[in-house]
Order: sequence, then C-alpha cells, then structure tokens
Amino acid sequence: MACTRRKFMKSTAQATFAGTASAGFFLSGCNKKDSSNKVKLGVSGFSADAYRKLIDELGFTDKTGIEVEVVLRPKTTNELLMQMASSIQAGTSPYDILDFEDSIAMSLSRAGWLAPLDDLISQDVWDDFTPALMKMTKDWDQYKGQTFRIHHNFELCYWWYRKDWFDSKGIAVPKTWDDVSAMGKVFTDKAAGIWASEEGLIKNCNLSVYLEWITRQAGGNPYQAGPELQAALRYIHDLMFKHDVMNPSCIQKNYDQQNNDYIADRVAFMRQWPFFYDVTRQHKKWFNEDKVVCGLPPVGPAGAASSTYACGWGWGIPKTAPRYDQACELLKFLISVENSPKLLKYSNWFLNARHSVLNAAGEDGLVKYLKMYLDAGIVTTRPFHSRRYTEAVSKIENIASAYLTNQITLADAMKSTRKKMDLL
Amino acid sequence: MHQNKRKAILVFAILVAPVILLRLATAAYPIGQTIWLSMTDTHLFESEHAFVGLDNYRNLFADPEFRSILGFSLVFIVASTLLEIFFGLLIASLLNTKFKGRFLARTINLLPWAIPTIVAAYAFQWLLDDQFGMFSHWISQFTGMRPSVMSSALNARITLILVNVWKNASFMAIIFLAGLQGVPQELYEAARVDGAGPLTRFFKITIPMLMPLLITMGMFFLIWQLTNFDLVYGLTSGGPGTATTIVPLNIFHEGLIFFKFGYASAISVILMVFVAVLGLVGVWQFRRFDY
Repeated sequence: MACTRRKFMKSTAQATFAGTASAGFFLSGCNKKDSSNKVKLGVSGFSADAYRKLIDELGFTDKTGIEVEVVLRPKTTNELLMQMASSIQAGTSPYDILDFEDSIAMSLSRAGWLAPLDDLISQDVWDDFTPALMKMTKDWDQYKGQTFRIHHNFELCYWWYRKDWFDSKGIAVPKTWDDVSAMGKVFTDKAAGIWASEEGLIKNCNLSVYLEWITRQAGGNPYQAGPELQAALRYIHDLMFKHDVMNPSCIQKNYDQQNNDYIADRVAFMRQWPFFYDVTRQHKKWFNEDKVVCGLPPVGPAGAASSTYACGWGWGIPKTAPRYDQACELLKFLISVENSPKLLKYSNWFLNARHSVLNAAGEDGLVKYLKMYLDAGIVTTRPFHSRRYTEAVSKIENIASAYLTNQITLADAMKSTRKKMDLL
Repeated sequence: MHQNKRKAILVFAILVAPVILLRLATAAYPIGQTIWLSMTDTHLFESEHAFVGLDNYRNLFADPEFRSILGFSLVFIVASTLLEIFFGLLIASLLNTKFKGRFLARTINLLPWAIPTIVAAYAFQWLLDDQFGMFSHWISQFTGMRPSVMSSALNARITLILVNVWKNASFMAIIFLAGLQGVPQELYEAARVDGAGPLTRFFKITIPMLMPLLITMGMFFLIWQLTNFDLVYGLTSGGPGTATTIVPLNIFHEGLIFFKFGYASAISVILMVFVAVLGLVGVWQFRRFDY
C-alpha cells in the first residue's frame, strides 16, 4: 500500500504525540520525591557491614520507629563532591546523613550545604571530647561559629617500622630527621629494589597528606607557603636524591602500591594511616608482630609536639536531606555518650579520642598505639587552608610533585606556591 | 502555486523543528551558556558572581602551568595520532596477508581496543610499577636496573602516549584493513608486472588509495583524543607535577572539583575553538583532495 503525504503526516503527528506523552510520563516520574521513610545513611564500602550490624543490634529502629538504609557513597572524594554538588543544586540529596572525610567537610561547609548540628549535641557529648578531639573539631568541623560535622573517628598518621630488620642490624630506630637521613646507607639496596623508606605520593590527596605531615614536623602549615614548607620540600628531596632513603618512584605510587612494597619486604619504615594495621594482618603467611611495629615518628625541627597530626571522618547532614528530622534522630543516637563506645565493638572505624571510647577500648590493637601517641603529647591537628582547601591541596601537590621529580627548582616551587596560594 | 509553496514550507518547518529544537537545547544553549560563564567569575561556593570580561582568558594565558598543559595536549594528540596511523597501517598490512590463523590474529588485534580505558590505565599503573611491574621486571632481568618510568616527566609523557597508541592502534588497523581490502588487486598485479617492489607498491598504490581513509581517521582521532580523560586520570593523574595533564583533565579539576565554573568554562571554550579549528582543517583537506 502506497504511503500518501496525508498518511505520512498523520503517522508522524501520532508518533510525536506518543513520544511527547511518554517523555512527560517519564519526566514526571523523575520529579517524584523519594517517598520511602527509611533514613539513608551514606557510608563507604569498607564500613558498610559494621554500620548495618550496629544499626540492627543497637536497636535504633525499635527505640525510635525510624528505619535506616545503609547506602554506599562514592569511594573517592572527587566523585562524592560531584554527586553532592549536582544533587544539592537540584534541592535534594542522595543521603539524609553522610559519613565523610576532611576534604569533603571543607568543601561542603564552605559552600553552605551542611546543616548546623549544635542543637543536636548535648553538653554531656561535648564533655566527652578530649582536648585533642576538641581542637580537631574546632579546626575541621566548625565554620562561622557553627558545628557541621561530628567526628566518629580519630585517625593519626602512624609511623610503622620493621623491628626485625632493626634488631638484626643491631641499630636503634631513627628518632630525628637526621637519623632518618642516615638510614639510606643502612637499608637501601637499589638493585634488589629495597629502600629504607617509601610513601604513596601520587597526587589526589596522597602527596598532600605526607607534605602536611612533614611540614607540621617542620613547625608550619604548607598552605601558608612559609619557610617550613621550604624545609619540608628540601628534606623530602634530599631523602630521595641525596641520602637514598626514599624511593623516588613513589611520587607516582598510591597507598596500595606503597603497602604492597612494605609487605613484599622492600621497605624498612614508613608513614601510613591506621588501616595499614588491618592490611598487614590480612597477609597471614607473611605477618608477624615484629614486622609491623608502630613507633613514635622521627622528630623534626619543630620538636616532638608536632610529630604527627590527627584527622578523621565524621557525620553530617546535608541541608537538603529529604528526611531531615529522622536524620537528626539518627545522629543524636550515634553520638550519644551511651552508644559511642558501643560502636567500637563493630569496627575500629569508630575509634576516636572521646573519653568514653578510650575508656571502653582497652589496650589492645590500634588503641594501644593511639594511647601511646596521645600520652606522648605528639599529636597536633591537620593543617588546612580555610577558604579553598581542595583547590589548595591540588595546587600544592602539582608544585611539590614537579619539584620532587626535578622539573623545577626549590626557589621556583616556593615562588609558585606563594603565588597560587595568594590567588585562592 | 503560491499556496502550495507556503504549505510546503510549513510542512518543512514542522518536520525540521524537532531536530532544530533538539540541537538548540543540547548544543547551542550549552555552548552559549559556557561562553557566557567564561566571562564571569562564577564559583559554586560564592553567592555573587560578576561579569569579568576576558579576565579568565587573560589569567589562563598568563599562567605558565596552563600554557604547559596546552602544549602537552597538542603533543599528546599529534604524536598519538601519527603513531596510531603508523602502527595501524603496519598491523593492517600484516593482517591483510594470507597466513594460518589470520582470523584469530584479527580477533586478538582488537583486544586492546575492547578493554575499557580506565581498566587499561590502572593495569598499566601496576605493569609499570618499579617493584612489581612486569615491564620493570623484564628490564631488570636484562640490564640489572629497575627503571622508574613514571617518576620522570619525560618518561611519564612518553609512556602515556605509548599506552594510548597501544590502546587505539588496533581500532585504526581494523579500519585500514577494510580499506586495504577495497584496493583492486589488479593495480598490484600491474605494478608487479612493471617491476615495482613491495615498498614502491606500498607508497605508490596502497597509500594513495587509502588517503581518504587516512585523512578521515587522522582528523577523527585528533579530535577524539583531544577529549581523552580516563587514560590520563587512571594512569598518571596528570603527574608528576602537571607533566601529563591535558586540557580535559584540567577542566575536570577546575570545574567539577574546585567548582570554578567561570574559569573552567574559559578553558572549555579554548578547547572548543581547538576542536573547531581541527574540524575546519579536516573539511578543507576533504575539499582539497575532492573526495
């Protein structure tokens, strides 16, 4: 049957109408608000099981009638930032309550996307904070006089070393920067791929962590681009190229590669986050206590009090959370003096410097090291850039990475850093 | 007659309008908005935004870091495309000869292209690891040295280009193979009778016959690779320093991580101009050769 122009027009019009109607139907579905009553708690994959268990066993739903759904948030800071930016601009949020890290805290709070939490925090909760945790909260969780995040986790940069290697060589662990500089001659064997020390220094917040750590030991804040940063950069460069202490190729390594090198018996000592404690114990054939010992970090020019810093993850509530009231109830439940120490039973992820938590933690495992560091009085807070932290981290990583691969001189690196920080 | 013409114009307008509306919404509006944003200091964290004229562009070109990123982006796309054409032709010529297992060889050739780029990027990060990497292991077996490929700017740049070539040359080869199969065999036979050797046949017959394809694929890959993101993000994160950062990664950082929409838009406009210029060169080439 021939298709006349009239028939063609008619069928085209019908198809257009059908298409428009179905698109409208689809779009109206997209606009529907999430009608589920479950509070969505956004957490990282590695802590999800612990969260599900504790929510279930501590009886939050029984006590409040509010159901909780533990949902996974993106693994990386960048992905989460993108997700939150687009959803908050659209007036909603994929999470009612979120577990997030320092760099996210800086960005979300400065953007004004987090709800103030002060009304949810009772005085007994504040009294439960140790001075170290309180200092960290003031720096990292409060902005313009309001608290926007509560830490559940208090992570230190720990210094790990091979006690068995030091014992077999009959030498003491390095106590100062100068001692560290001498370790290259003792341990490094380039042909065998063994180095006295190694770090994961790839950009995307790995290099900045180490730079912040070393600059703190030098007595400063890298984002102020002062002489302490200069001393830190020179020290790291010397460790790589003058003293053969640190593997120069670690500038493009991530934490997985760094940990693998340690577990493959190629590194004598290094800085790493507390998760390394669990990583090493998963390698049962390789592991023994003398291979992974935590010691006090070598002391830099600023003295022992600035040997390491604390940072951590915590809970916050987006201003656009669809179930805001229920999220507040869940937050109050999680941070209460009664429940906070109970969380530790489910994971080290909830180990922090609250009195109730430390009292309940005992002396085993990581707690031993945390208490050792706190008792030694060597913990300071993580340095930060108040206005544009994420951007400052990226700029300083670019410059440091260029200097540590000999693309620019130290003078150029410092000049460039000052200029970039001034522009922020 | 006059009424018929009006009716035809109306029908034309009704039929074409949806497509025009679609292109306006998905191309013209975003481009216009990006150009407008590039002339403002819009930052997602700030509530007030101002018109700053060409300040973003001025700041960009005054920034040595951006100039270096732009320079490497050019080197990256040109070197990658030339090498991909070279190896693509080489592989296609090999696959076009008759040998046992040719079908299997053609299938295996496509494997690098079939691997998702981000997976390939992370795999190469491990393959090139100075302690555990397969390549480092082989080199250390032969030379006793452990090369630290990614810790020097030059080596990281070369590595990035080579991995990109490895990934895309196979696709180029398949396209050229189709082209080679369309070259009449009589031309080769006639040339052989005239005493032309393999090299002469290649340069005097194969290359001219494939020229339309070479130009098409060359232009396509130049533009395509200008928007490459995942390989750089996964393999080097743009480092060391900004040695391997290319323009799309720079836009990602400025726009979606730092939320500097105005500044990122200015970089996007520069990238768009780049792509447009390349496209125009391509069109000009087509006209020049009258394909």
